[in-house]
Amino acid sequence: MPAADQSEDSFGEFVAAALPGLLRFGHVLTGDPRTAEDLVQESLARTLRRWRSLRHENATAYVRRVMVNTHINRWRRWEARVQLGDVPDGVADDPALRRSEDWDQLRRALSRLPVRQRTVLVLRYFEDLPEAEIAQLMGCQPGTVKSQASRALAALRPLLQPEMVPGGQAP
Amino acid sequence: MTTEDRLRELLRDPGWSLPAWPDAQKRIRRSARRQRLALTGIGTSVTAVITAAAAVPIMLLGPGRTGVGPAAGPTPGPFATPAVGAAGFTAQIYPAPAQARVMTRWLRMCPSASGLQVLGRGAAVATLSVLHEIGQPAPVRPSQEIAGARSAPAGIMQLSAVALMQQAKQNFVTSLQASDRAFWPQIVAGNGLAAVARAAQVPVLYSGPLRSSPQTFGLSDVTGVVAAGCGSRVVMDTWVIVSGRTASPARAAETFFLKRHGRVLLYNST
Repeated sequence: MPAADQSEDSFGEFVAAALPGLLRFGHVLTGDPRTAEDLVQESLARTLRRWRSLRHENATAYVRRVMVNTHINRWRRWEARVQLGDVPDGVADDPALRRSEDWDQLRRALSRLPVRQRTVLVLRYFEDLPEAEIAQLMGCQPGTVKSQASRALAALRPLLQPEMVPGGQAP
Repeated sequence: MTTEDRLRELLRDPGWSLPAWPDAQKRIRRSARRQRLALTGIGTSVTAVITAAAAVPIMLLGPGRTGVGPAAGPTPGPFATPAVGAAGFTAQIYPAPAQARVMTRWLRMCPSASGLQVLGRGAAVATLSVLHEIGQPAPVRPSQEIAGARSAPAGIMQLSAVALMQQAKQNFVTSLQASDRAFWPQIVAGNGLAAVARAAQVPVLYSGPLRSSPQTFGLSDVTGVVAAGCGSRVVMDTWVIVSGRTASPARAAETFFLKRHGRVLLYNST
C-alpha cells in the first residue's frame, strides 16, 4: 500500500477514535456546541496538514493543544470589544443530550468567566494537567496559571457549595 | 466533596458530549483544503515549494522599490508591493496610508482620506464582490496541488511548484488591486488574506454603513476604534460586512471597505 494511502487510513482511524473526546473537550472549552464543532474541525484540518510529520501516539494531545491555542487566539481578537453575555437557552434544551440542572448552571457560570480563566479550569480539572504543563500550553508562567485558577474557582465557588451536592449540607 | 472535586465531576457530566459527525473525514478534508487555499494566496503554504522552484525567474511588479507605506519596510522578492504611483496603481486611487493615531491589534494603518466617497447605491453588491475576489481567489487545480504536496517525481514537483507560484502571484496582485494600501501590510504578512478568506466562506449577517450598523454585532466599539485611529471622515465613509454563521463572537468576521474615485477597496478585516 502506498505511504500516502497508509497515512490517510491512519488519520481516518485516529479521527474515528478521537472525535467524541475532542468534541467533548471543545464543548467544555468553548461552552457552545457550534463553536466547539467549528474549533474541532479547524484543529483537525490543521492536524491533517501535518499528519505525516506527527508522532501519532501523541496526536490527541497535539490536537488539543491546537484547539487551546486556536481558541485563545480567536478570543484575543475579540476580547477587547465583546462583552460576555448569557449563553442562549436553546443550547441547553437539546433533548438529544442528557443534561443535568447542575451541569447547566455550571455551563452558564463558566460562560461568564474570562476565556483564560475558563481554559485554565478546563485544563486543570477536566484534563488533569499539572500547572507547569498548562503554563507551557498557554504561554504564561505557572504562577499566572495558579492565580487564574484561584480567581476562577472563587467565582464558581457559590455554585459548587455542598448544597448543590445531593445529600450535602449547607454551611 | 471539595469544590475542586465537584468541579471535576461537573466538567465530566455527560451533558458536554456532542454527537460525532457521520461525515467527519469529508468535513475535515474540506476544511484542510480551505486552509490550504487561504494560505496559497499569500504564498505561506507554498514556501517550501517555492524554495524548490527558486530558479524560476519571476518579475512580478517590477523592482520592489518601496514598501507599503510610511510604517512598513520594503518587501523585496516576488511578493513586492508597488511604490506609490507605480504602473497600475495610480496615486489617486492608491495613495499612501497613514499610521493609526491610536493603534490596536487589528488597526495599525489607516487609509488616506483623499478622494473618499460615500458608498451608497449598489455598495452591497460591490463590496461583496471585492470580498470574494480577495477571499476566494481562483484556486489551484487539485491535481497541481496534490502533485506538489505528495511524493512525486522531481520534474512534476517542480512543475507544480511553478504553477503554485504563478497562482500565488496572481492572487497577490488581485488582492493588492482590490484593497487600499492600509491593508497591504496585512496581505504581505499573511494574516489579512486568511481573515478575508474566513469572512468569504460564511454567510453575510450584515452589510451596510459602519456608522449605522446595528448594535447586535458589537460594532459600536469598532466604530470608536476606527474613529480614534483614523478619524471620523473614514468612519463616515466606511462600509462594513459582518459575516458568520451566527452572531457568536468566535465565528463572525468583519471586513471594512471604502470607495475612492469610484473604486471600492477593502481596507481591513478582522
